[in-house]
Amino acid sequence: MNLKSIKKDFPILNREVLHKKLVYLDNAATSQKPKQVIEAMSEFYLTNNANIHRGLHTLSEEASEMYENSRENISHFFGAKSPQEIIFTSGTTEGVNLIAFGWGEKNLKENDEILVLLSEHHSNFVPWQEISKKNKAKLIVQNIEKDFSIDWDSFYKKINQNTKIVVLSHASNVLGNVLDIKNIIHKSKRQKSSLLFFVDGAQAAPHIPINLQSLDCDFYVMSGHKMLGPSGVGILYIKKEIQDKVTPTKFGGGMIKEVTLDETTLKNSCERFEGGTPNIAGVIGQNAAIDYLKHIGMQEIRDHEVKLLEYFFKKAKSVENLEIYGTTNPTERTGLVSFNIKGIHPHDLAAVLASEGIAVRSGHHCAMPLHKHFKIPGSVRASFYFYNDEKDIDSLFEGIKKGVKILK
Amino acid sequence: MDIYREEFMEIYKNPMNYGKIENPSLLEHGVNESCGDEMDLYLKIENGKIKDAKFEAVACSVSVVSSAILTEEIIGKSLAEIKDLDKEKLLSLIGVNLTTSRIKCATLPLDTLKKALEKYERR
Repeated sequence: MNLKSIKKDFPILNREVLHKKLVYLDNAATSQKPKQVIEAMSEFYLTNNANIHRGLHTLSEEASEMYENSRENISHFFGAKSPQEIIFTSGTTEGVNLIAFGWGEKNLKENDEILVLLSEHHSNFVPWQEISKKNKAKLIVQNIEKDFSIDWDSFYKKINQNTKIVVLSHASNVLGNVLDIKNIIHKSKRQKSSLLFFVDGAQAAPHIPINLQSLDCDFYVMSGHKMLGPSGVGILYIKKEIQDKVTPTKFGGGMIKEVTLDETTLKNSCERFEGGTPNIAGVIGQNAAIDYLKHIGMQEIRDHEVKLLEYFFKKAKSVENLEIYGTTNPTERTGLVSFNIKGIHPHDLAAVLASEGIAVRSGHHCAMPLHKHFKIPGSVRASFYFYNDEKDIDSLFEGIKKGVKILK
Repeated sequence: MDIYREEFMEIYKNPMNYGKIENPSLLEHGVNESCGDEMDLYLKIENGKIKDAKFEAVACSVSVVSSAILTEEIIGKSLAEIKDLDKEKLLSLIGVNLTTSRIKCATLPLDTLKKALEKYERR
């Protein structure tokens, strides 16, 4: 991986903030975009722009082809069986809501159970909480242990005949731990073969190789903007066999087969979940982002981030009162680390870092149940991507040192 | 950075009016919804005047300093006088440049005070 030439593709990484060189370590919130993505979108607007699947004029046909080619390319990249299993949404949140309500409304009965982890991001927790209240189903929450591990025996014991769906994040946005989804699904299905699996891949898909067929989950959601794409594009995978069980949650143009005054028949294809004009340019930009990732290689990205994590944990040893949340084994986690310096509020540390040009996230990272469980008001989160290097981590630790000096 | 200058950090490390009031006239709990920071505001009101004000907080430096300055400002004032106390006034009392995202930290004690006084009036 040639970092020097990669960095050239991300002009924003060259900018200064507050007269300091930008050190961008907030990739778990959103990644930066390479020129190739921005150019693909502007090229589309400058030369091909039209609505898709509607006109028979040349531009509309070009736009439709580019949109559908993106679906195909993206479905190959993530190892789906067919492009028809890939649905474009506005983001991970829309994907979760589409399944929680579009599947949950008709399939969850009173006393049915949804099994979730305590560490879920609000957007993969609240929709399930809402639908369980609405349908009088039960939301069963698996705790996180004091050492941030998961007691899998107690997790599997929670699965019973009432359990309808298991909801998991492939990687937690706070703890960073990557779950062995394939193995979990395999073991859970031994207990109940008809169990469905919903996986939130927002923090995993940008960082590790994903093969959806091999994972064998029923639903998988991702955010395009966390993996080099524009904001406003999400990818929702629904296994072909399950699609009939999901009712679209928004109705509009582009998804209709026939409408009479009394009744509407929806298209049989995955387009029935994409009512209205989709984010066409965004999807085309996302396709360029996937090409970029393909060019670098997901395993290369993963290896680079593991090296950065090793370096981070090595440097962390010399910082007093540093509390790290999650495993310190780099191979078990993705490229993000949440931490606190005892006695310093995370906002204050993040603000000192910001004044040094270092962008990190602070707060509860939309995971309030988890932070309450560990009785901490919030944490500072540094999250890496393949364009970060050891120098960025050096700057981070310099900044932390400065923060301790000012705030302690 | 402006907010981390020495005078500001001195208040943060030894904030005025930090603690509890026994048998307060009002005790209000405040939460900053954007980050989860929390505070308790204690008020002792006698003859329509704030006789004493104290606070406890699990919060960032901006919230703590703002709470110290706000309590300092209202002690001794009548309820009518503190009615005019608004965001602009408080920010000018704090006297440092705050970014948009930190203004919410500064207004936590003010929102908590307003909530407390509304309850008091309804009594």
